[in-house]
Amino acid sequence: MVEPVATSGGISPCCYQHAVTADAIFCGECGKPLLRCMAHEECGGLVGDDGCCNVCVRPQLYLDKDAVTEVKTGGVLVLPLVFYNASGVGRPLFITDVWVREGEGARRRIELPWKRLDAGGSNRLNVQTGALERQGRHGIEITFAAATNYFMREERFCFTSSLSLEVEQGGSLVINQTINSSGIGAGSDTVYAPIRLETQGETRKAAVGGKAAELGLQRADNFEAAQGIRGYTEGPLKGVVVSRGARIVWKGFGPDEAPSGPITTRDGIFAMGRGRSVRFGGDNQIQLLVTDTSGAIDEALSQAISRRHLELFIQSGRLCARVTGQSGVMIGDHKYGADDALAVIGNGDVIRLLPKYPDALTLQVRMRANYGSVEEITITRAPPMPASAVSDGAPR
Amino acid sequence: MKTEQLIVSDPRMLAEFIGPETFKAVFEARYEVPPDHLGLLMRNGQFVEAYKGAHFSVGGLFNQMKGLIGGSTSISVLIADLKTFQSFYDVVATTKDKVDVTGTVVLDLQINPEKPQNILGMMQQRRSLTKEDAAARIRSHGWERVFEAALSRVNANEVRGNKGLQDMMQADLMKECERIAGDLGLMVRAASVNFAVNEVEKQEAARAAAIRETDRLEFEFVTLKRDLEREHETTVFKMNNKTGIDKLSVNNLEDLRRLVLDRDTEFNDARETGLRIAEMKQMSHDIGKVKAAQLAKLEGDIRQATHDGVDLKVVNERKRVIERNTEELDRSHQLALRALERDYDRETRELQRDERRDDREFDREGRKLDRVEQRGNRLEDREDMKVQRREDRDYDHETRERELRTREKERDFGFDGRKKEVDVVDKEEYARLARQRETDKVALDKLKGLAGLEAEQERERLTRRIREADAAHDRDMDQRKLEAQREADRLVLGAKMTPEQILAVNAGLSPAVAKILEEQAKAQAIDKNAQMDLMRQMVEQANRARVSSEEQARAMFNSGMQGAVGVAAGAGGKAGAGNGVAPGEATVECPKCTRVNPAKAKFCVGCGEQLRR
Repeated sequence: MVEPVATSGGISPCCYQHAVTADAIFCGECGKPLLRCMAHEECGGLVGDDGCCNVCVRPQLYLDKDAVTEVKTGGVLVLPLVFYNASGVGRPLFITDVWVREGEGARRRIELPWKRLDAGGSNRLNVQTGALERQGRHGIEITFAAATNYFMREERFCFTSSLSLEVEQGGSLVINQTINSSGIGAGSDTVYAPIRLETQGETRKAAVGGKAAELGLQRADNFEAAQGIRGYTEGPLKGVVVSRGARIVWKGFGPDEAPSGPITTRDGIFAMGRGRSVRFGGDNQIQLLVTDTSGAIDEALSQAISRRHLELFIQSGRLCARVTGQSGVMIGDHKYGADDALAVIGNGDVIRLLPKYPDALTLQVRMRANYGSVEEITITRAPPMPASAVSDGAPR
Repeated sequence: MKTEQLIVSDPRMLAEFIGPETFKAVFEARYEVPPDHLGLLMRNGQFVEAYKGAHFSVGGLFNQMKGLIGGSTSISVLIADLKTFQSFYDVVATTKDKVDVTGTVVLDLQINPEKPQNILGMMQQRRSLTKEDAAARIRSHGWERVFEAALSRVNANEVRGNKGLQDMMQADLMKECERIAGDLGLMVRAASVNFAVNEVEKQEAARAAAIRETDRLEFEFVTLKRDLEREHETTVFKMNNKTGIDKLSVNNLEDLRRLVLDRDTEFNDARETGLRIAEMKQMSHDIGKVKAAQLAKLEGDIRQATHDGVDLKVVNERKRVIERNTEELDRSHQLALRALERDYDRETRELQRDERRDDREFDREGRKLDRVEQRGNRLEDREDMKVQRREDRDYDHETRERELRTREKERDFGFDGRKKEVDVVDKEEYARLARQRETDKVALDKLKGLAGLEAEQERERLTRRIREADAAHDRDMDQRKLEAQREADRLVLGAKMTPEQILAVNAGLSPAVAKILEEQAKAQAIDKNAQMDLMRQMVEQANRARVSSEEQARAMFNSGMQGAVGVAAGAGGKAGAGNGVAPGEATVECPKCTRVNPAKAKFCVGCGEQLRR
């Protein structure tokens, strides 16, 4: 029996077992919140704090067969790369960017003629190095960004792999490949194929040829934040990434109405609006009604709030919102409607749920970042609901 | 019936009322209004009709009878001149550079044909309106608002021919007129200002005239100067002196006057001669230049040729001397060598000849001695002599041979000696070089000193680090290989699995169990969604029952599992509808959220509350 592999997000097998229960929010074994992939309906996968689903996002990078295996000083190496989507559940990947870095030099962005990578499919890309003038060990770093889409949402991740080449004067470079099995694509038995590069004193052909060699991949989280692929790209939170498991603290609501914690819904969306909350058989996680200071509901203004008015979710390391209400929502200084793209919510932004009545009902967002990661988001309702108005907990 | 023309009574009039007394008559009267005038019929204080280029009838008995019956009617006619008229007046305005500019404003005014009755508003006492009065109404308003305002934007030298300025003033004036008298039936057709010459323009004109005069004078001066120069270059006077040459000496002005006035001296115009002289001088000058140039060129050629010749000669001479010296040296060397060889050969031949001669003599002596011995046998004393001679002869032969050998050795010794001397010199040189090399090496080692030691240590340290890094890399590669192997195994399985099987494997079940569960789900589900929901339930149940083999999975379905799944499949129920608790399984209720959890659960799957430790 093959044990489930512990993923990078530290997801235990017990979590997968309990995630099978549709309405389970926490793992019954370890007590951790179950953070489902946005495409959980298709993949059944869980994500860690980095938001990466190992079922959906499973790229592999190979050095193609018949690759040039010899390089002398002053020579140029062409690396025929093969990108392979190893997702077993038919989820496509989108390779959006590829960068190559030689040694300590700057990264070069490679133009990609293709983008989509279907599950089980592979695409090829030739990457050429500069002239390897210096004798000695040369490091080549290949980094690429892969995106996975589900309906109107997209998560992007960067992966990196590095090669180390030894270039000798008059010598030659030989790639010794050990292929345990073969066959890239078509869902056959593709397995590990380590590559080892070494120099030989005399010119020699590759010991094993005709096989592709897999290059080990690592998540480039630092690069993601630096390039703005994940996390915020401007403002005081520039370079800061919101953790997928960030705890959202709701203030100004009743304690039972909005329990603090990460977003643990099946689709990872935290919905709010005039409609009833899930506790009372509705679809929203939080019910939003306009009240006065005494807690009395202003029915006229509350009617202006749509049943499902706003959806919050964490995407690519940013707290995002999609406006579904007819009257739109003011976030910061911009008004967003149902036809607009996603809105990125930053630290200190005020969400005015009724733009025509800006102070009728607002949500202020505060984030606390520690070491480049936001672990807690505080959303404060204004005006706050008086304790007496929420004590009954009954649907309104 | 006679028709009377209704026009203004005076050309200076713009509009004029014709009162009712004009139209009082017994008989009907006909009036006509020419096309350039407008007749406005006013009856009982109201304008009732306008006539332009038409005629009309008033009065008469019938109307008077009608007036008697129906009451009298007051009729009057306003006659207005529709032609444009011009008004001239002078304005003085200050320009941007504070120069007073005087101009004559020309205004083309006209009664507005669209609303001529409004001109009534400009009339005093409703009698008449002169053109001058109408223009005067605009004049004072236009002064400051238009002319001063427009001229204050330009300099005094920019007003002349400034079409933009004129357009601006016309537009402003039209606007002002429209504002002032627009509703009074007066309109401006055109306006322009004819500016008088201002001070700045006068100054500029004077300056331009002065410049032109200066240019003219300059041109005349240049022309005269050129004529004078030409005259000077070509004119030669010839003096014929009738007196003695001593009288030609001029010491002062008196002498000069005497010389000229006494007519002793004649000045003849020798212009032709002078011209020829000038040409001759020019020619002579040219000849001189050509001569000098050719001479210089010739000298240069000669110098160059001499220089080249000397160089070649010297070089060739030196070459020849060197070649000659070389040849002489070679020849002397060859001669010396041949002399030496000849000497050597001669000495050798002499030695050989001496040896052969000695041998022959020895043989001859031997034969002689043999003969003498044969003869001396007979004589005793001759025997002693023979012995004595033989001893003497042997002694001589040995002595001679020793001498020859000694001489040969001496010659060889001379050669060897010289060779040894050369060898010694070479060896000494080699030894000196070796010592030098040794000294250099020692000095280099000293120079390397501590730096060399440090470099060696650094190299060793780097080598050690490289070895450590290689070892770490190998360990890392092994680890990755292991991980990748596990991942690859998963992939091998995953590639062949369906999403349902992957769901089961991710949940910790074996591939065999996952396959069984999928088969069951396919068999019992009505569609794809229900199949996935069923699969989730089955995986949950299998996990709970700790199903780890194919047999256990089949046994599970044969027992109680089938019922629940069948109900779920038939009803199309949602996955997880039963809170993940199998029927008959021990449960525990969460004290916080009251959710029912399996008794073995450590945490509530609904709120995360810890249920047991």
